[in-house]
Amino acid sequence: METLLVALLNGLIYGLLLFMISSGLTLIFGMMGILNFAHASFYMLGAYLAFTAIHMFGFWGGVVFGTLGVALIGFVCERYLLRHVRRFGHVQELLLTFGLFFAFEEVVKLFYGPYAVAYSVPESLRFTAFHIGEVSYPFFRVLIGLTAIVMFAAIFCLLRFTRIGLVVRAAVLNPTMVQALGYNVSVIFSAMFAVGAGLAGLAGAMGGAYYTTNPNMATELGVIVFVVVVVGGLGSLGGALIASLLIGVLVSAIVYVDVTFGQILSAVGLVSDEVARSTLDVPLSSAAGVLPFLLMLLVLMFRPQGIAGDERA
Amino acid sequence: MKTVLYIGAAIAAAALLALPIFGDLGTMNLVIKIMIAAIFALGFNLLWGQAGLPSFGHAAYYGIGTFATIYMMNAIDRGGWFPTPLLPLVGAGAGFAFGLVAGWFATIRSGVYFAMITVALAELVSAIALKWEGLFGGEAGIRSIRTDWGPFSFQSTTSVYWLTLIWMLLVMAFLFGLQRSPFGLVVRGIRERELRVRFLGYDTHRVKTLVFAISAAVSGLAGGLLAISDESASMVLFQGSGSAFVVLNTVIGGAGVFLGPVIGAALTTSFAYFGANLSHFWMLYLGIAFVVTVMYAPQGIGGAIAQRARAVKAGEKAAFGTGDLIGIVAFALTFLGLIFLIEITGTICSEQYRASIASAKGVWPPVRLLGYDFNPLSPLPWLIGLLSLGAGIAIVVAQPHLRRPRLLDLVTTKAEAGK
Amino acid sequence: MKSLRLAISAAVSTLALGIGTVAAEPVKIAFLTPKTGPLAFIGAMYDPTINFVQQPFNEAAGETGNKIDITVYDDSGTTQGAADRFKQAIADGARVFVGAGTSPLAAQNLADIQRWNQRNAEDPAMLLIVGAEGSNFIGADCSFYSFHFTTTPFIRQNALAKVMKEDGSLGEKVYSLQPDYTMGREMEAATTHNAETYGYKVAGTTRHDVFKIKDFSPFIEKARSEAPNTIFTASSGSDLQLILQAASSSGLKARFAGMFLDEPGNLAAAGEAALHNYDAQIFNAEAGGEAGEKYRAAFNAAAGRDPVAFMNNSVLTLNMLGAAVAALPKADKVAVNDLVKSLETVKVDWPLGTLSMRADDHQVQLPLVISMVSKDAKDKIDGTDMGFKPVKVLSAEETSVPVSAECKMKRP
Repeated sequence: METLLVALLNGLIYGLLLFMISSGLTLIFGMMGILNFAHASFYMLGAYLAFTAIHMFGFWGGVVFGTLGVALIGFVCERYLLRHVRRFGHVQELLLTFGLFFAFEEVVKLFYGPYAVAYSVPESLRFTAFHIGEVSYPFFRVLIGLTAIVMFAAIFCLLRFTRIGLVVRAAVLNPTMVQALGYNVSVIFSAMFAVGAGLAGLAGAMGGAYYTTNPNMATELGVIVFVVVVVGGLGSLGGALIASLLIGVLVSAIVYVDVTFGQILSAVGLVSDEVARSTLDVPLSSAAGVLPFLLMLLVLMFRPQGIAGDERA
Repeated sequence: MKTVLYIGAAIAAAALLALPIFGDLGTMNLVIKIMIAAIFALGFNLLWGQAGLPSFGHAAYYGIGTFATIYMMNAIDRGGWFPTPLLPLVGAGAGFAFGLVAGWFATIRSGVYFAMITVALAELVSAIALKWEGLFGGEAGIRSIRTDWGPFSFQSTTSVYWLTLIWMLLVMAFLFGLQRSPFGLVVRGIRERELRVRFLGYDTHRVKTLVFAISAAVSGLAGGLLAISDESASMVLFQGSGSAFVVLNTVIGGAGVFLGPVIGAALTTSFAYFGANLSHFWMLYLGIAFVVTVMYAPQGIGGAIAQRARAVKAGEKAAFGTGDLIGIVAFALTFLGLIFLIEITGTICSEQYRASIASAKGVWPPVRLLGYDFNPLSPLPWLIGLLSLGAGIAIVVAQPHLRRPRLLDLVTTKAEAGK
Repeated sequence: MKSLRLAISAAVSTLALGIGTVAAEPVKIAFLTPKTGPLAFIGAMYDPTINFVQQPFNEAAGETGNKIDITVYDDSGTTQGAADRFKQAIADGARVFVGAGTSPLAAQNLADIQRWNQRNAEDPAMLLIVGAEGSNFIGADCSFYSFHFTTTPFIRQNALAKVMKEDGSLGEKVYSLQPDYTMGREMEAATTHNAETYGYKVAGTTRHDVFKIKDFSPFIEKARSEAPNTIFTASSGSDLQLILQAASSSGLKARFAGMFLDEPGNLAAAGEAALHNYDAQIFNAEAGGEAGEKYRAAFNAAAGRDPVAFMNNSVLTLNMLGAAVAALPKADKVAVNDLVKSLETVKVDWPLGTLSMRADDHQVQLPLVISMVSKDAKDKIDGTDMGFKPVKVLSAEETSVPVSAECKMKRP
């Protein structure tokens, strides 16, 4: 029971972190149709910028610096790079972000070297939030989860209940009309991109401290973020939240399953017991890393618009 | 213009024929790798350029081709009958079979969703290759050796070179023919407007699956040639960088031109080969080059050349004008500036440099760059870098607005006269 | 360009020495390692070790001994790159190769060497494997022309279990949490195999995907449910850092025993979570006494950091290679076959004991230090207040495991 509770909680918190990163990606896609390959790089840059600023401004100053710094980088990328290739279509935009992904990783290595850097949660935040049985649950995990929830609420309210949100949503549906009404659509787009990048930066500043900060962190996380966004439905914030939680819990739960692939296949009758015990003796739990991809494949096959996406597929 | 093309082709052919005589082992291996990368990129571009399907997981089919070929090579080594020169067909066959299945699934969707399916499939194959030691040899991979066939010996690098060259020409002829065939027309039709092709009575899903499988087969063939050249296969082949590099090659070279991917493969492979020995940051230069290509030559280098050739033919532009000269100068300045900034920053941020500061008791040792020593604390190298970079970018930005002298545009008249 | 420079320097030295003496060619050594790409950190680790050995060696060789000339080739972390660089190095005239990468890269190097030797039996090449821990290199793939200069998961697990049993920290219940690739599987097999010898029970085993898991808490919780005393792991890099953090923040009481804890960046990234865990180290200055401290200080002055993890493997590889070269009489061109035989017999002083090469399977016989991460350690690592406190030094005889039955070396 306790184990189950902890597993569930772990999964949820991890899912919320995934959501923090992928919300910006899905927002940007939903608003501008750009599938941003460099999004995980924004996560990495957030962590590195926060790490750099932590000596000057302290931990929270670092987090703020990371968020704003990445938002600025996002703004520059949109205003001076992406906007130039927009007229060539979305594939060209995607390729550009693909190149940026490469470049950002190398820039980080240029300044910080190839090893992990010593960016970690400050001593003052390292305490136990509560106990479940003998498991002490760290406060910082809870904090990551809370930040994600607050973030979701803030974006949701901003888009749904404010005038800015109204204009943004209108600009997505019909940019020409909004332009004609006197709003500066390119500024809206730049701002949206900056906000999306900033959210990933915030996730990086928090996640980088709790997990690790190294030049490969974008690559390690890169694809999973896409999985979340696709499973949730491209462009859907709510879908991304559900998908993040689903993947978080699933990845966390699979580790406890003591079944091998062979056992499953032989139970269905596809292979003999003999084969199941020898060649296919691969525990399901060791597939935690690939599980999201299987999930994505299934979703793409049977429900391409994802959990809550529109009919763009 | 035609004559220029023929002369170019003749020079390329002469260079390829003469290479085994003049080239050393390293150069020959480089050209083999360029040709393999070119075949891979051509196969990829069948899907990307012709059918308009962006695949981000093509390393899977490349790797499967390599493994299949290695297994066949081992079979030959144990006394199998299969002729060595036809080995790449094994890779192609494996790629085709796997591509048929993967393609059937992937082409159910299009656009971004298609791309994501290819990524997911590649990740799955990569994970399986890592876990299934029995088949993929785990970390050690699988080794084999080339076996002679009849009167032909395949032990030397030269023989591999000829084999690869012949296969590359065959693949080129095949793909070129395919592009020109009615089938190629249907494929391009699907790219432009799938619904319309469907109304004409074609089963577009079947066509797309077939294109996917052919593309995978060509990629597998490239993998097979790699197996012959390196005589080993490892699960590292399935990792993401393979899929990424073929996209880089194709985009830099130009997806819209038949030989574009070949140009891209030649450029990036040589750049990786030489760059890695010159600078630790060659990947950064490559990333920047890619971004610049996407921004300023969205049709790729090959596309830009083809566009220019058309303009010259139509008499709209000179073969080489003042604008190009300015462009080259701007490029050189930008590149010089980047080299200064990147190399010096990279050097002084490195751990070893900090160690040498410490051992020199706080004195910053000079940074050696392009044969000169620079003091990183003096503003000189930074100024050179920034000014050069700034000047280069300024020229690029200002160029369309400049009234340039028609000094060099004399070439136009010559070109006109020559036509 | 290089050959031109060589030619000029040769000409100059000929002039300087007068007519008649021909300068002997140095032994050309190709050092293959990833310096770019995602594995760049490996190359960065080896980078400072090369000149650290080469320069003093050549100075000591003077006019009477053979010199060495090490060139670094960047394989950018891919097997294709490794194959390319091998051919390039062969073209540059190198016949002695140092394979300083991961197991797949070393396997590629080995394949290249074997093919080359098969085709050019009169001009063979040899390989010195620095950091690849796969046991195949001294098992099924052992060969006369390749040498293994590091341990295998089996050797390290055995050493860890031996010392932890002695100092009572091993406990009765042991868990195995491994990365799901060859090395992890070998460590798992070693953990199970040694259960009887060291009187523990394997409470459970789990494997995780390599560099794909961000949140290791589920793995930690699963381990916790078995209440182990010690967890053996061959995980490395960010995986290891994440495992340690997940374990420490959830208050798991088990000790970790690993083999890569001292790789650069790990202590810094894991922070306090690394404390009290065990590591099987190639070198530890505190354990090496005066000689150890001397080596540490010299290395630090050259590289800006203490020699840790595989940096030591590289240093000892090049030291042994150098000694083997020095043992041969000065020649215009040192023959590879002679060098192989010289390397088999050479003995080299190392701060922790004498290093030698076992001729049967070409596995280096080297002492290991079992250490614990502690704040009391003499040398602090990575700018943290922690370091590795040696628990016990195991001599080369103690760490040695028998020659694998799979190794059937063919001598020319």
